[in-house]
Amino acid sequence: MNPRREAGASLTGLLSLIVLYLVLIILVLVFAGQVLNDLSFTQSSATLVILALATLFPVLLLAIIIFNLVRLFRDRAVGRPGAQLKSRLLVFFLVIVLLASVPQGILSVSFIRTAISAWFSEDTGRAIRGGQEIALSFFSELERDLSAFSESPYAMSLLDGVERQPARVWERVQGVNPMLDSFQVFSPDFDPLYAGGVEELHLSPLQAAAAREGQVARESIAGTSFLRTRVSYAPTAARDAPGDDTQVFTVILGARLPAGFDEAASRLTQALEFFIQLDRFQNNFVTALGFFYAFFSVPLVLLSFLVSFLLSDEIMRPIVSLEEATRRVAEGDFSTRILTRRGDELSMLVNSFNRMVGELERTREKIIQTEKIAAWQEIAQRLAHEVKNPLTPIRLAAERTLRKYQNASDDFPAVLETSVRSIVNEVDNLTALLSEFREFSRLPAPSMEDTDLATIIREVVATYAAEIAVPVSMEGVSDDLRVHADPGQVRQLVSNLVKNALEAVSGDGDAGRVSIHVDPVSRGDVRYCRLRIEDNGSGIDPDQQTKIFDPYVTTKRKGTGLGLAIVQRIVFDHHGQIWFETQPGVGTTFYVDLPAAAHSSQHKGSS
Amino acid sequence: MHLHRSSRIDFRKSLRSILLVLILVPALAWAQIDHSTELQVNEDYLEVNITVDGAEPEPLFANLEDGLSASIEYMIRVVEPVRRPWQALGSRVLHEFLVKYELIWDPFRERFTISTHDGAFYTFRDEADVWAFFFRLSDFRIPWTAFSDSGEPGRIRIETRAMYEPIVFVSGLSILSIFLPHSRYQSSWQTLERGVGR
Repeated sequence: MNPRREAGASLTGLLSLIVLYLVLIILVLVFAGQVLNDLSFTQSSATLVILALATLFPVLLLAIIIFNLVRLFRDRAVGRPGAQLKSRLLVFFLVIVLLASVPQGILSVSFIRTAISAWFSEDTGRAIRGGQEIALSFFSELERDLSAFSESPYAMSLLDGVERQPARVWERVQGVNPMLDSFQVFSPDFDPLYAGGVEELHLSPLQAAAAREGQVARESIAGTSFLRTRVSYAPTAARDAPGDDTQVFTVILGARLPAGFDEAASRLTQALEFFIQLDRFQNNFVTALGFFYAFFSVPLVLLSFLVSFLLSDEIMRPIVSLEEATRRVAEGDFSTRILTRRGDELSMLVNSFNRMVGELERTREKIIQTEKIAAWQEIAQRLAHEVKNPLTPIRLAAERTLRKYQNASDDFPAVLETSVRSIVNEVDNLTALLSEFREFSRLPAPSMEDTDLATIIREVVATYAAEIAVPVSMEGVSDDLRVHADPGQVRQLVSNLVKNALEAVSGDGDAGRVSIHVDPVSRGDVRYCRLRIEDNGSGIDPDQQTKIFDPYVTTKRKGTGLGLAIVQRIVFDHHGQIWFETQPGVGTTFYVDLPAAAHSSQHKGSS
Repeated sequence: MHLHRSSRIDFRKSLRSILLVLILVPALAWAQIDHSTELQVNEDYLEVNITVDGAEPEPLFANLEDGLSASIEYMIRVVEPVRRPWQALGSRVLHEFLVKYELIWDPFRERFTISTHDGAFYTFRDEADVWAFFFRLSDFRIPWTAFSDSGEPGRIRIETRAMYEPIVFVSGLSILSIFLPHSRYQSSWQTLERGVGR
């Protein structure tokens, strides 16, 4: 039993990639927003490290994909099973990935561009600018009005009597100018005489003294801005003495900007800054977004492609295992089995294959057993026939001798001598027949070792050259070819074939030729030495060709019919192959493939 | 002032140069700017003055008038060089100080205003005044106690650098700084030895 495990070796890798894929998507979701908001190279080197990793990751994925592609192309080049189908699967997966991602990418960038153009149109910009101009205009007008009022002679007239009745004056001023929210009066020594209106707008005596005449610096408290102006007032009686500051009172007039004005103005300023930047750098921004889209999406696409490699592996593995197992079965290895942990249709197919091979193995064993019995029956019949053939002349010779003896015939001595010689002859034949049969039936298991085939061939040819004067060509036998075989059995194999070839041409006079070749060949992953023995004899009759390797089948008068049977048995025991090509009147060529030794020379061809 | 107290090996200088090669090509295109540093030794502190040269006033004020803002960042480090054989790794940062100014034109006040990251606020009417203030860090004081973390005060160095952004991109557009090389100018680190330690 030779079980082959069709297990998901890359299943762990596939699951890891899927987990990585999900993590990457989560990172994209988390960081995509952060990139837009915070990415800036003013930040710490942590940002650079993240970016470096984000760059190295797709580079690493790309390297793995290239490695796998190179391996796939190499597999295709050497014809590895499943490589072509895997290539097609990958192309399908790639097409699916691109079909999904390319339109999505184009759509996203196009959508961003359209959205930016639509949301940040010129009208929006004009509206924001207009809003800011209105706010500025309102602010300036308020400031101007306050200044103009405080500097007007009418205001001075309204302030008449402020040093005596400030509250009444404040009521009068507020009645004339309702935009005023506060009113303060300080004595010439900056002692507070009166403070009316909104308390937050009131200045301390120190601030009032420090303030210049006219506009006071703008101040914001709790999000509300205040405008104030300082007015110096001299009562009518003191106006006749200019430069006399001891009679000059200080009046602070205040106005409050509407609540939320500052915040709204600040937002308008920020919105305008954003709009100006986007308007000025719109194309760069779209390019940047496209770049970052690719930055995040390319690793996902690469990861998808890498997953497709593993998926195609998962799909191909049982098919490749089946193909390999089928090939082994075709080569005669019925012990092949495939192990699977899957539970799908492919698993059912694998199980069916295993059952089929099991049935084939049992059937084959039965056939072999049956064939063995039939072969031995055949051999027994032929052996009986061969043994019976000499028994008849022996019996006839013995009976003739007995008859002559009983009749006291004069030629008894001569008949006796002839008959005994004949009997001895037949017994010798029988002995030779039985010896060869014993050799055939007791052929030992081969003792394998690296064997120099050329030397054996030369020695065998030299032996027969002394007996049969037929030219034997050995030009096709190189010295560096070695086989992994039993040297004794190889010698017997070569001897039988060479002897057959020589005997086939021995009656042809000078025209007879025998040539011997040895070629290196390979079949699948196994290398062989091919022995080719060719003669130009009379060939083998068609009716004999199917029985040529059967025991006791011979075309020669004195042959035992076991020579080729022994040759076939030796070849079989060496896991080799033997066959022949023949044409009556032209000649016969025997081919024998024997396993090459591990350190034999490189094979020149294949078959 | 932002005082970042730390004591660590400064891999950043050497690491950044390596990482920048690996990262984005546009990032390599940041523009350069010059700065000079003066140190003044006083009784209680070391006074650091940094002046940035080479900025162009016209685009800066044009951008401010358009409603954009600019910023400049001054970085000051108190470092101690690492002894051999680890010298290639950089220096040990004893203290790091960061001062950042952000400059805008306030249309309501009709003044240039500079705000610092620690909340200080300055206003200027004239371009010349704001230019002089913005591109010069004056009288930055490092107390001598900052040097007591080192066993050998004589080996301590002061490193300074400035980073100027003529346009500060608003949130959401900050990625533009990667693609617009002239949106950020950065000076090289300047190392000073004299006057350090008493």
